[in-house]
Amino acid sequence: MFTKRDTQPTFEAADGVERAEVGLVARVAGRELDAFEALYRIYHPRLARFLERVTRRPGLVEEVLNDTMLVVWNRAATYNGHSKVSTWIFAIAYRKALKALHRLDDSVPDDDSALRESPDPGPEELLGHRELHRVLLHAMDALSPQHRAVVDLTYFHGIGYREIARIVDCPVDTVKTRMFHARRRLKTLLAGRVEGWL
Amino acid sequence: MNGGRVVPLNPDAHAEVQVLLPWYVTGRLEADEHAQVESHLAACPRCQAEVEAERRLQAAHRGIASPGDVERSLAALRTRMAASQPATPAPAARAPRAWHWSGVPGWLQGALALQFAVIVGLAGWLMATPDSDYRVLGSGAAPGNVVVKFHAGAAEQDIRRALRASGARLVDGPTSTDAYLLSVPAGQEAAAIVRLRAEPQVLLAESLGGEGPR
Repeated sequence: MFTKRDTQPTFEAADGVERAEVGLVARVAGRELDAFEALYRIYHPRLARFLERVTRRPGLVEEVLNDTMLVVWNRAATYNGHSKVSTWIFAIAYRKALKALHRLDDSVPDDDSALRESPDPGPEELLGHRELHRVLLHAMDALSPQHRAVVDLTYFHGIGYREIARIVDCPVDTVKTRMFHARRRLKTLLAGRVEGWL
Repeated sequence: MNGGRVVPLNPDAHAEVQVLLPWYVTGRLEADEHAQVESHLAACPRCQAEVEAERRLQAAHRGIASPGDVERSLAALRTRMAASQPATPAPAARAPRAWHWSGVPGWLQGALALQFAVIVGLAGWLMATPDSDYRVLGSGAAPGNVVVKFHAGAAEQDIRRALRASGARLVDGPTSTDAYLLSVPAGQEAAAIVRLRAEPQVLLAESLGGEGPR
């Protein structure tokens, strides 16, 4: 499925992390449970965030995340090292998320899920940030799961468009187009709802 | 930023740079693309403003916390994995590859059983109809090498999109199990199956020649 590795000169420092993750996957392929749990703990925050953003259904996140990691556990031996570990795992998670949404035959988010999932503000936390996050999450709801995936992989996970194309299994131009339209939509929505935005 | 250089604005270059700006802001462009954006930015106030907006948008995204509790989720997964362990046979009594089923959840075993039944059923159906027209459609007709099954609610346009995306051609079907036989050019089965499986309306996609992805 994957034939070419991204070359990201600005992220060369991450090579050590990548090597460590490749080593963990090799041990998972050998059915080493402690290696699997280490990989699980590394990926849980990123996958939870990604799956919540794509599905907009907090109730689905744990199930889909565990479905994803079960595939990692059972198919680690098929990982061939031609892609980054993160690309392989996010691609599994993306497919699982879309399948789960399809099973529900509904991609409408839970009511007020954005507010429930937002961090509680500390006493000194700026309410402006909280309001911005709330508006941003609701603006994201106006996008399709496919567009939300590209936005989240780009802005939050800092992944390049070529690697995103492998994760969502579509041409790089499609990734660029999805991102272009998504950000234009987000900016329009935010400009109408957040004072001083743009 | 521009060092006094004036770069002629080209509408195509402007559009090319605009689509790259999110990854310019996150530092994920290749060196040549990064240079292309920098060069354009030096002469384009609109894109300079766009970069500032991108930075704010990205910062707002990164400020949203990740949901969930890793230990609670991991405990739930351990429970699922333990529940899916086969209850009975002693290791010595198992088939040589039976260990593959350990850790496979019940739903997946069911799905694999369904998949196997569809493949076997389709193979039997094909063998039972040796004179079927699809085998002699003409010299250009390729035999079917991929079996696919769609969700019950799949619309015609869903099926058409899945076939086009995967480069597959419908050879025959539906079978009695509502599966379809597809023809994919030799050597492209694995890629086609990956694309088919990515389609939300595809229930299963398998190679009949054993060359698809697992």
